[in-house]
Amino acid sequence: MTIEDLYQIGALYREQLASFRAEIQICGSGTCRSAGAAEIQRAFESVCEEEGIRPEIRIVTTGCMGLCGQGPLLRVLPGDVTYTRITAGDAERIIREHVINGKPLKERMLPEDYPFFTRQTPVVLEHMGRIDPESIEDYIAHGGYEALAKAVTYQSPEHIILEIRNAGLRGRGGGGYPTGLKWDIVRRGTSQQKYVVCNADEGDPGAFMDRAMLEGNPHAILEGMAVAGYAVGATQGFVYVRGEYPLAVDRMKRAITEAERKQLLGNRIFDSGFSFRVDLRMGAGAFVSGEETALLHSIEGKRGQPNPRPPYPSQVGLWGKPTVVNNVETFANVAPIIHRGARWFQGIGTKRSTGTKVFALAGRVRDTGLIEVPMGTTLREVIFDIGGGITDGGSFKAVQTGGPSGGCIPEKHLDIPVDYESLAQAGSIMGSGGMIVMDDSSCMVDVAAYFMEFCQSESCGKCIPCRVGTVQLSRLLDRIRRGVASEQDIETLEELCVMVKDTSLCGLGQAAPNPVISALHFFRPEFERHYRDHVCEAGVCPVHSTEAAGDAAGIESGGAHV
Amino acid sequence: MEYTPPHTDSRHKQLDRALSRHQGRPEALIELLHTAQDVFGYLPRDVLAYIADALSLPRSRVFGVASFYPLFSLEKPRAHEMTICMGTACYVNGAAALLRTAHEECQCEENGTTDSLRLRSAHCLGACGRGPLLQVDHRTIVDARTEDVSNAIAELQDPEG
Repeated sequence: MTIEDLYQIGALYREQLASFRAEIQICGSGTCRSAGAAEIQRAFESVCEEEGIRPEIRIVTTGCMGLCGQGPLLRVLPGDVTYTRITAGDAERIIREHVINGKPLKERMLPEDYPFFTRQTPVVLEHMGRIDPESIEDYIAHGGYEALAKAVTYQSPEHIILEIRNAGLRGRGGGGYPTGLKWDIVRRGTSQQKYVVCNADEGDPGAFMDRAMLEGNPHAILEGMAVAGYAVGATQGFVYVRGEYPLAVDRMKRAITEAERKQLLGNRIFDSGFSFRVDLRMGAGAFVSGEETALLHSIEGKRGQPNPRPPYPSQVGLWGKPTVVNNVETFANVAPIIHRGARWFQGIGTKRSTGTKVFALAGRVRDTGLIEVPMGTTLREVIFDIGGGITDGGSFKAVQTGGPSGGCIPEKHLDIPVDYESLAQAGSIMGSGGMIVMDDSSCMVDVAAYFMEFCQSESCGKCIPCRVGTVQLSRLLDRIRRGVASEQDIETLEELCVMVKDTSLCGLGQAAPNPVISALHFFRPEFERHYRDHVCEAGVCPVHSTEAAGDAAGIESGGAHV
Repeated sequence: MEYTPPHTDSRHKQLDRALSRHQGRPEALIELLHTAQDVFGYLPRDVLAYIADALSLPRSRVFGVASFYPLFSLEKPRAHEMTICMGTACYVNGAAALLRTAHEECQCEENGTTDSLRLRSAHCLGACGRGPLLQVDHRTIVDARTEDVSNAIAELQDPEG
């Protein structure tokens, strides 16, 4: 494979695409599949058969189109018309009226200026939901693997690292560590053997960005990994995919095989001296394995338990060798940066947080889905302009970012820009990109307890502060939830939070108290209502039902108090 | 104690093929556990011992890894499985009520079993846009309600229905 061959493949495939009279793209994301995407595809195929136009129409299942809440989604080209809430029964009308007679179904289509889409800046998600994730040719036809070709043919490893540093790319897994700096440390490592690892062990509840990218555009991740391999001098990469995502595993395996077949992975890539292979490893359901040192243990076939850092994996990583560990989205940003340059990338976002961020917007918001916005966009814009505000006309209460390591941000901070520093100042973290909107139906005590129960069950048990601390914190939160806590309990809770945060071995334990600390900071009166007045205003906690149930339940909670 | 697999069992052949592909390298342990679980539906003790011997690993190490990861099951699977997603998005949209209904109707706890059903709660199934999510065997129901849980359980318990 040479650069010319690559261009040829792309040109041929584009020609092939242009030969179709129309194209029907069906969203094949996890959400749309659950809502019946496969059945819809069959319906469209059979209507096209009936009409005798099947060979002229390209019907393709794509990755996530983004607007999950209104799925299953379908797009018709030419014209780029998106239809929402499609059923198999819609096939006939859409084919006959839109595809054959050229009259889109006005009442069913999404307005062209629908803010969910117009307010976004797709960089990582540019081709997501448009290309066939099972076709390497489709990726190549959209400029795929050109960045890798350019890198290994014309650029030195030092130049690439400088470009990534100048771009200001920071770790999208949530840590925000400068990617170029990390790569540089690995490159400078003296070991002959080095590794590149893609952390696709997406475990935060309420986050599905990695899943969507693995399923929707796997080659973009592989290309980024290969560029990283070239930059740091590694010949072996691993993608560690969460075991709960079987489709992501299949798509990624297929992508690796295809790329090997096309000699885009393997020996002497683009006739250069650079060789790079990628293997897939499947996780098996342990949240803590997403922590980088734990993840490396898991690749080595061991229990996914963390090590204290330093040393960092960039110095002592997989089998003791220098290892780049980056998140899925970080790798997906690499090809666009190599393609369009650091200056272009710097132009997006803020000074210290450049580029865009992908978020999984979910919860009590009207338009849920996968979005990508420039860093520095405010939370209000994300939730109210893109997300369309709160479901069922409810009122906003908090937005949770960073999953079990993050916090809840209240109304008064909605105008802060979304970047690493501002979110940290507001007592939360950027995290990997889960963004859960909550309204009055959520109780913040209950939410804090929910996250603590999560951390408790996912604690690997290696260090005592996390193993024991999360259990004690859970018990205290449960006392508040049941309305039987005392002032003393709140004090203990706060002290214990600090202790667990300061003394736990890895990120899981160190961040486990965050949701509680932020809830106490912003929603203290709600806690007080629980333990002083035995009232849960959201009506979620058991204290509420005890109040309503009267004396018998009162005795019960009194008993627990003693 | 040496464990000899019954060679008539074709499932063992699949496991053996995977073992020879990985050439007995101990770092392949998790891969092999995935294969074994695919083949047998769970990880029987004798199979764990067999893998340990094939990789020259202590049995304690193999059992330790198998029991560490929640996706590995050391128990024989039931005929049906019901999973309720308790990811944050599902939770704020009422997943707890679904789980309560399932507890009541199956008369078993979370991650518990009845004769024919295993009830699980998942930390996140990654389809947060349409939560709460209910998974019954291989079928996923989006925007699930407590009625969906009741109906699914009734259906599973009454195969005629």
